[in-house]
Amino acid sequence: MIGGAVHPVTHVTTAERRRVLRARRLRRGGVWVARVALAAFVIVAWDLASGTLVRPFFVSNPEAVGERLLEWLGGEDEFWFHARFTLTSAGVGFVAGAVLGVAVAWPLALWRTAYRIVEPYFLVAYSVPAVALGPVFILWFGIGLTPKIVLAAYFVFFVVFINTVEGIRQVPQGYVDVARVMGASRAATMRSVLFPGALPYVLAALRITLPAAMIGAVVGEFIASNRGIGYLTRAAAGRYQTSGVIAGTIVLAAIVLLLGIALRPLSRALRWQPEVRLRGGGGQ
Amino acid sequence: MTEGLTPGRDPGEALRLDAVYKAFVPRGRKAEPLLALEDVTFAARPGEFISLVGPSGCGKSTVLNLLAGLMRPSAGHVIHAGREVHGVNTEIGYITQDDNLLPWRSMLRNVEYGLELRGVPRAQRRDRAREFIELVGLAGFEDHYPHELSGGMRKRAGIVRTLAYESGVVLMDEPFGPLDAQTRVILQDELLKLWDRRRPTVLFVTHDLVEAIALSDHILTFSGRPGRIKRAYQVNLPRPRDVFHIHEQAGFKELYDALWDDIRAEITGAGHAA
Ligand SMILES: Nc1ncnc2c1ncn2[C@@H]1O[C@H](COP(=O)(O)OP(=O)(O)O)[C@@H](O)[C@H]1O
Ligand SMILES: [Mg+2]
Repeated sequence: MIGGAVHPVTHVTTAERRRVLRARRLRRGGVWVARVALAAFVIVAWDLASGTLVRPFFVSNPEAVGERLLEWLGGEDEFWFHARFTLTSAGVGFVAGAVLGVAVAWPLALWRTAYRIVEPYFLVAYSVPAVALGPVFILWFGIGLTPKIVLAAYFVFFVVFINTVEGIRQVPQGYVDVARVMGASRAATMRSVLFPGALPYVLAALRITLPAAMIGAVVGEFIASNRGIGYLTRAAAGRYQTSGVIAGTIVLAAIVLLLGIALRPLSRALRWQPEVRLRGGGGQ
Repeated sequence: MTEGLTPGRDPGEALRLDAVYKAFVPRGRKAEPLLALEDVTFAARPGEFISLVGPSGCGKSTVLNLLAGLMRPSAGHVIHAGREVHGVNTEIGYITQDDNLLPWRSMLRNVEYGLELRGVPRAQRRDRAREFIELVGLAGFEDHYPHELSGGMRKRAGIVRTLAYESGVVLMDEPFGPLDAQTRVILQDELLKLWDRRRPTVLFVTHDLVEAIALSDHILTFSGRPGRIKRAYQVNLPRPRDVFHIHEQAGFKELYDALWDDIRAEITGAGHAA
């Protein structure tokens, strides 16, 4: 038998829609419940292990760390002063490294011979562990804000540079050819083909280098500083105050996480991308 | 050459290749240069629809790239509208084998891209783009990005993007290559209707003999590498053509058989490494 619809179509589709949305909501809710449970489990296990399996000297305990965090966050201004210092060096270093990375990448990506000339030197500079440069920067720039900014920028620069060059190069030659034949000048080709084509790579690089900027700033503080969250953490370690060390680490992780979330709209800007790359890099 | 292909340089010609050779030098010190085109000579008068057919790798795309000014000939002359092509030729339209729609532009913005580059004011180019979008049945998909369109829709968008700015010469490189048989025929029909509006000179590369017959005034067959023109055929079927029933037309079968004999000799012929 053919034909003879029993249910009106709209009825079927709205019912299906309701079912699917409900299933999705349940699944998402379940994931969150499991996440919170996992965190609770770790904290409880930590609490139980501390003082029984492991000496509190090494792992402190949740209460002490929580106390320290509350003391910091609720404190008048000492903690916030340090946080501001770290965020400033990471932020300024991030912007400087990113701007420089993009600015240097453009002419080099367009002028291949120049790129081939400098490529080996960039690779050498990139393979020097940036941490090893910390003392050099401190020698040059003292122990204030500047060496931390430079270190953070250094962490950011190469990743942004390399990805921008790669982003420009992977734009299919066909796009450029078609634009040229349709009458695009060099400037118009750059603006309407190369720039948007490279943009996803640049944005991806910015997302993954944001934590790198924090690392650069904190490494700088570890090496020599009297300010910043890195300094706070190191100072706690110097006093053998484990709760302070752990609290400092948690604060740093939280900052990176929050910055990652703040940058997330960047990836949404690229609605045209067939495979939207929400994985990898910062954020969830 | 047969009728329709005027010998000599004639300012009334839309385009001409004169004893064109093209060699490619591959990477690697020891690699031999590869001769892609050998002594290719042909011309097209304004408004003619000419198809190039031949085995793959015989240099058909190279012919189009030369006319677009994206490559220079190793020897010979490439002439468009009576002038030698120097550098990128912005006076022609080029519909490449890949549709090359810009993935970050919506379909509408892709279609108006050529007009935009040519400085047509916004309102005017938008109207023009919409008109062409309407003509090929893409209305309603203006805001879709290329990856949200089907293969046939992408081809349509790519074609009207080029036709919308109405250059006198249009080069098309296997534009319907990857499409299914039904979509192909429908697009052939649409293409003929679009072409009929202004009758630009068209150089159309295809490996589909039926398609070549259905669309063209002349068909040039190419030999395998190095590409040489083997023969020129005139298609004497009346216009407007009914592409859906083209094979029922008188004269179709003879032409098809002749073309197929030509091409088969190239594909199975000895001496040509594929
Ligand atoms: N840019 C290029 N560099 C080197 N070899 C090329 C280039 N373009 C085409 N060729 C070679 O020239 C020959 C003809 O290519 P093409 O014109 O694309 O053939 P067709 O379009 O007829 O399939 C092929 O052997 C191809 O490998
Ligand atoms: Mg080809």
